[in-house]
Amino acid sequence: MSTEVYIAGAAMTAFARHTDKSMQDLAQFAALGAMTDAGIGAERIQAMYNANVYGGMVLGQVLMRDLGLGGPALYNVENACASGATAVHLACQALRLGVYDTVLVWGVEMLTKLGGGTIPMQRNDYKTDLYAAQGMTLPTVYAMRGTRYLHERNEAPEILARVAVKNRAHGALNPLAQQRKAVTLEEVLQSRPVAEPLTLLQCCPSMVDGAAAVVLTTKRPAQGRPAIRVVGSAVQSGRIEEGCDNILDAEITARTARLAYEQAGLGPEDVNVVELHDAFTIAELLYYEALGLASQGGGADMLRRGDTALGGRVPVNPSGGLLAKGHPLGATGVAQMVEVTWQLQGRAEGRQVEGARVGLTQCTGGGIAGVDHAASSVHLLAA
Amino acid sequence: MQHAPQTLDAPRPPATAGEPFRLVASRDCQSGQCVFPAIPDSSPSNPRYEPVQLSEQAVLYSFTVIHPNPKSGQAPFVLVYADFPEKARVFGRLRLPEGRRPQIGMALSAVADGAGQYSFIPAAESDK
Repeated sequence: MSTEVYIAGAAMTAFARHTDKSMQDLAQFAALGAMTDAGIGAERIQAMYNANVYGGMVLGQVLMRDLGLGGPALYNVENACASGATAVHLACQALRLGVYDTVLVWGVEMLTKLGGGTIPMQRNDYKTDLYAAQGMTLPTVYAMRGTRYLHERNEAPEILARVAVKNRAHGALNPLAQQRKAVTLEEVLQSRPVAEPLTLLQCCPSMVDGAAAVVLTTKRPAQGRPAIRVVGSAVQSGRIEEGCDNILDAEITARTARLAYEQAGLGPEDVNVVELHDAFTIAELLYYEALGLASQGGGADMLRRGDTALGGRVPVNPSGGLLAKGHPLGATGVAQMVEVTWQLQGRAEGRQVEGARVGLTQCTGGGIAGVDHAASSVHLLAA
Repeated sequence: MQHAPQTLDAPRPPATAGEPFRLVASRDCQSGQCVFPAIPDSSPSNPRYEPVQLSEQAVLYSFTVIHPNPKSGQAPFVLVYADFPEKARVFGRLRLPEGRRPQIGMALSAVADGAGQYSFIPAAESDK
């Protein structure tokens, strides 16, 4: 990557049930926060990227109209749960190509508008329609992986619950997380079963709203704090699942991570902090291995040793992750970058990973049958 | 447009609910791997595939028991991935006698379930 891209400003709303606010309120709060954090005004913004899943057409224009930011190019980006990360990826491309030098990227979602429950699958697909009629939902897909994981690895459900205990303990330290209560293994295992082996506390909350924003620029920030560079940025789409594939290999995530590491000239051993897509506990265990943080088959031991807890070798989801912080889909990928930016700048009060210099964010977008995941994005940030 | 799973030996009468029948998948002509349900006839992707009738028996690859929100009043139900010898994996419901648990590796059969749908039952029961 020849042209450096910096994260000059980062901000987000609390992830919560914002039933007294509009989507405009949330997106504008995050956008203004990121611009203030970057120390720039609207005149510096040359393009905008809005990430969202369920908000409707030309949403970005709706969100920014009253702020007076209209005029420059505004791109509306949807890639399911990877929408926010995809928007950052597209912005990085344009910056590196010299199309712009400073852009604003935000993600926003109001899942409370959907009324709770599992989020809807894509409906414009004959295969997803058929499988949804059989009962396929996103928890189902992850639960299938969970059952197979426990079978192949000869593990007990307790290993899945440990992920929830860790991330919810982290979330308790994050004032922006929706669920701030630490839980015990027993509480996780005894919470209501949802899709065996997953219990309620092993699923990210579905009634959550929020927004996050970053200012990206090719001009090195001079703010008296570490300049954060985007040194790797990759997005991939899911390949058709044919035959009887291994559902534990997280193929798209491993493939995307390889691209991001290659761009950055870094490897998993260089990463000090990770924000990954723990929509359900089993996902985090699989991604340890797909991202190369653990050897094949070594994810469970890595978790048991405490390597991925705050204070461990490579803390994963210090924000609380999707499980505790919440997962307002379009906002998630951007919020992960906000968290890692704060971590690399020493601004993650109460949950700081000391001395972190390199951070990784990873998002997957699902919601259709017949692929491992529909979309995957991995970013590497460096101080 | 809704595409129901097909059987190869049409135009025979549709299977009666509960009756074992054969699902049809599409085999990738290059890789030899199958996808289910079959690629629609109208699809421009169709020439890449050939239809293949799946065996009567499959093996349970993974499963989950879904516990609907108690407010719904719905009973728990079992969902499975069933692997067929033709290198095809099919997702669907597994109907088990009360008190019986699903197990990875158990033999399954597909049965017609009405309205173009299908479900799985333990293979031994379908053979009775």
